[in-house]
Amino acid sequence: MRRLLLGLLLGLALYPVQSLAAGDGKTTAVKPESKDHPLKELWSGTHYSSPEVRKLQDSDSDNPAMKLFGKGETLWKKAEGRAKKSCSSCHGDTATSMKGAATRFPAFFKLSKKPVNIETRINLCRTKFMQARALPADSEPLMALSIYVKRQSKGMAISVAGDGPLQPFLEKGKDYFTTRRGQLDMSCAACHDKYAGQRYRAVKMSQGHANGFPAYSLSAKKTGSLLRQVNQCLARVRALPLKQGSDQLTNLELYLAWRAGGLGVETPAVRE
Amino acid sequence: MRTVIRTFCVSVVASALLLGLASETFAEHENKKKVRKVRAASACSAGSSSSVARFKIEKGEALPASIPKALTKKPGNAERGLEAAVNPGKGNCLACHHIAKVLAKADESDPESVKLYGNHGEVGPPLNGVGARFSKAELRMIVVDPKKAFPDADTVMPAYHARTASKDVKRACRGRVMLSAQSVEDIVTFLEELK
Ligand code: HEC
Ligand code: HEC
Repeated sequence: MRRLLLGLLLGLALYPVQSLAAGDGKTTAVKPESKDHPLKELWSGTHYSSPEVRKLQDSDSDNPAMKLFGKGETLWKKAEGRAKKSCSSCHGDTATSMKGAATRFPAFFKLSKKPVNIETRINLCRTKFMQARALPADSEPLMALSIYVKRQSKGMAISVAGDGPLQPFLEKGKDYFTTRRGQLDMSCAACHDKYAGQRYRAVKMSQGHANGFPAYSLSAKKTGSLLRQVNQCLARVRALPLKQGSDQLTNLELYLAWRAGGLGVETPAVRE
Repeated sequence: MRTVIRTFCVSVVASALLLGLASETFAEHENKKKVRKVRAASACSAGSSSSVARFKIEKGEALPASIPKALTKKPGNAERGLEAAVNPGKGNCLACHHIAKVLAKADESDPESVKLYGNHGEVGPPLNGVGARFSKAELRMIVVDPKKAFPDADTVMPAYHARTASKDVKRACRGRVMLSAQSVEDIVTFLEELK
């Protein structure tokens, strides 16, 4: 009798926790935190992947982008620059020091008084503390380090601050996302808010979250950055591409992170 | 006298300089214009056109607006209209619309044919029967500028023969419309026959 009661109590105590953890955005939806959110439920892009592609993504040994993870690990430990330091000289073990970092980025950078994404943050560490050269935009080593750092937050819920100093930048990012552009005069929101889950010719459009980037593209046979993906979308509507390191891109990335709040970090994702 | 000579010299040098500069910039300018033209023709899309036909908008029956008069003298051709509607670089109407008549052309045994005729989007309503729902004048208005055609001016459907795009248009596409007047007439004739 006592055991039954204990079990019942335990079950009751566990119930809400379990129901919260159930939303992974792949098989079950995540509820957005804010009432101002444009979407009623959040689905990761992986939700629309076939079971085979999903399996590929989940396997550390088969996921083709994990090669870059390995390269990132090597780079993390390699001393570079005039200060003869490596990332690990300052940050030690990534499993603890970088855990959760990807959930908080883009983050406000006090010195420049604006948000920076992980790639820019990595380059700031390189130039300021290692006295090494910044890695070129969209280059393989920068993507490798980015994947290596973001992977330490695997499955952790994205949660950037929508208020405080980030707020004006978030607004700008939202503005970019919801403004019509290009010869087709369409906004990101048209495809990824209004018609998400609908087919656009041959492809089902996802909600356009950034939680899996950099991601491996099976059709392009390479790992690509968020910039590359966004520029593909912009080309589709015949609009000007965004530039690496631009404020526009960082603000957009910030809005995408806010919009994906509650979804788990999936970097590196695998896509068709 | 001295000042006159000096002024003369200065003006000769100056005008020579000016002339030189001017001719150089003119040549450069012409060159750039040529390059730009070539790039625009190749980089925007197969169907895009830099000239826009004049047209008059009148009230429609089922819709707020319509264009009763054809954009071209040459009548539209339904067969060419179907191909333009399917072509990803032209109408790409299949991105958003299902059209049963087009699907029927997809040959299951040929992947190229399936790629071209077999994948239909779901963003807009299926176009089966539009020829019965709308007049030809309304169909023309829809393809030319759907923001004027539909009661909902906030439609996502792009304007194919009006320069309505507002922001960040790719350089090669600036000032151009998505479809030539003739392609619009072809597509409208194709739509008219979907009864
Ligand atoms: C004309 C429709 C359209 C527009 C406009 C559009 N996209 Fe996309 N987007 C797509 C399609 C189709 C895909 C590929 C399928 C998918 O993953 O959604 C995609 C994929 C994405 C992805 C990858 C999602 C994933 O999980 O792999 C992101 C991120 C994205 N878009 C962001 C944007 C942003 C930001 C904009 C505006 C600058 C934008 N999109 C505009 C159609 C569009
Ligand atoms: C990006 C999406 C998109 C593309 C591309 C597109 N349409 Fe549409 N279309 C729509 C939507 C959405 C509607 C519904 C009207 C609205 O938005 O209020 C529509 C409505 C229509 C209608 C009226 C249908 C009805 O029964 O009410 C016609 C006809 C039409 N489109 C023809 C075309 C043709 C022809 C093309 C290509 C030359 C095309 N569309 C390309 C999205 C699109």
